[in-house]
Amino acid sequence: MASERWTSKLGTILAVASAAVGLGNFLRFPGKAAAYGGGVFMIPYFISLIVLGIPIAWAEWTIGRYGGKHGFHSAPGIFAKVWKHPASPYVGALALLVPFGIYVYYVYIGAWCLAYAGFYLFGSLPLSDSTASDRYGVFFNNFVGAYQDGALFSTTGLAGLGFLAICIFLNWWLVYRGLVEGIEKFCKWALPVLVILGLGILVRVLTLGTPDAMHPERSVINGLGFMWNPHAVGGANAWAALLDPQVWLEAAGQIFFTLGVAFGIIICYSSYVRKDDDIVFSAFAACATNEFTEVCMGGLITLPAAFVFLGAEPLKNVLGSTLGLAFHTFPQIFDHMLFGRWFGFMWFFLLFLAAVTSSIAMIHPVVVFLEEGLGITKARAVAILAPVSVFGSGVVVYFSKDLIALDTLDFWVGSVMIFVLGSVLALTFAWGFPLEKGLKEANTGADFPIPRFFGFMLKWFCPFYLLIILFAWLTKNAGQYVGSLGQHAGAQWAVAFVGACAVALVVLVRIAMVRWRDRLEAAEVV
Amino acid sequence: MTITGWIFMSVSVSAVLAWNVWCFWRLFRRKPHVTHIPDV
Repeated sequence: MASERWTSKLGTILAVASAAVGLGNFLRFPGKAAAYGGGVFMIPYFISLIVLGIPIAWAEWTIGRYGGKHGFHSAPGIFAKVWKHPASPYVGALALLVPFGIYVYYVYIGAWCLAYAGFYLFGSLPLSDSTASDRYGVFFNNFVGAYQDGALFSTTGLAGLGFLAICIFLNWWLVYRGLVEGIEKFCKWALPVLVILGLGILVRVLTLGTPDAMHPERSVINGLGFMWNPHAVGGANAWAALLDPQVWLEAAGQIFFTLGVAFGIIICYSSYVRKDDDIVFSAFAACATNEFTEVCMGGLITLPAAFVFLGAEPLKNVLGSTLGLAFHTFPQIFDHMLFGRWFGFMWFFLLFLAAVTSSIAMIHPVVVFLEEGLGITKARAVAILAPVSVFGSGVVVYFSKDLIALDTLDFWVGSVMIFVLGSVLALTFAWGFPLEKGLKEANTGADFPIPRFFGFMLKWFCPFYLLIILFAWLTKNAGQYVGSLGQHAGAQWAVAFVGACAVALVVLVRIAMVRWRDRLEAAEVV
Repeated sequence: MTITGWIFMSVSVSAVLAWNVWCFWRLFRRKPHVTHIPDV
């Protein structure tokens, strides 16, 4: 295990980029942009990319490679080596809890994408005979059991469980195969296939013209305008959006989620690069690849396609809903589109690939921690963790009414904990490493060094800005989710599962620290 | 689509495309071949 290394720089970049590319690139980004000012949103978006996203990505890559040089590939060991403080490995455990907590519901969303791809490949969605416009939503809600807890554990839910089982098996099998034979090989073909599928759909969307003669205003050009035209947020003129703090918070949040920083993934993946690899460039290229799928594909496909077939009004109601756009809106589009069945398959298979390349990256760090922390084999680590994850996914699947368990995990782990971990990473790099040593480490092997401006940003801006965003998020949303804990058993079970995982991780980190004592006291590797 | 919409779209897409082209050109460019000269 310890001798595993990425076989090429391209493989590293594709693995990290494909971990970052997810449903958010194709669904969350266009929705946020259109809801928060259209084209004007791109100004805070690109500024956040430069002052927040790329610097934290550099910090995470640097911390990971530094740990890898000292033989650590899991976050607790890496944090213990980087930041000499008794609490550091326990803080590092957060970089295991976050990806594992997200995985248990993300794999379920991946299963929906696979199921929809399968439906389109072998025909079409098995909708009811009703012609009501909400039949797509009704089908989706039935398929995921959103009307009643435990709905999937009946005969009607077997198809959903079957697709979930396939996804779970695929994820664990790829991780069991190992870093090179499983993850790198899979990502090396999955990301190019994803891009080819995306480009195929993009060409189809941009050549749609005005498909409905009854609605001449529903053209591709107007669809692009729906996404990119600057427009007012909350009544003021379009440029006033730049003075709205909410727009800046949403842009920073989108950058943070899309680059996959602070998911605990990059820190693990970057520990497998060689000690003199150019991580400044690799991080930069991985961010570029992710942005290509987001801006050049997500920004040009999703809303224009929906606009030309449905018009502006129905779209305004689903802009804030990633799942609504994917599973309610797009099936309507494919029913109207020539060769819609095949484009439906391409679209949902693209989303499935995006989901799987992310979800395998979420379980790999935890498997590696068990291997090096407890000294057990990969097979045994997988044998321990897979059933735990199946139980977690089972909680999400069982408490399916209004997707309450999924929503709870997405808020507490997929939003709150990510911002906390992002702040911790920036603080660890700038203050724990500390900054001068961190920048020197990052620039080792780099063709172009990190400009000093970014060091300043990492030390004085990023952690505090992230905490401000977290505070704003909690102020806006926490009340609802705290209230939900007192009302819904699904929310309680979801939080209890994460709590139990956290306690288990603390115990395991304690055991691992005893095993690692000598290695942690060993001399620095230059 | 308004002119400012076109500008925002084309600048954003072009900037990201150029960034990618630069990165992948740099990744795949041929490194200068260095002949090892043994010490004598």
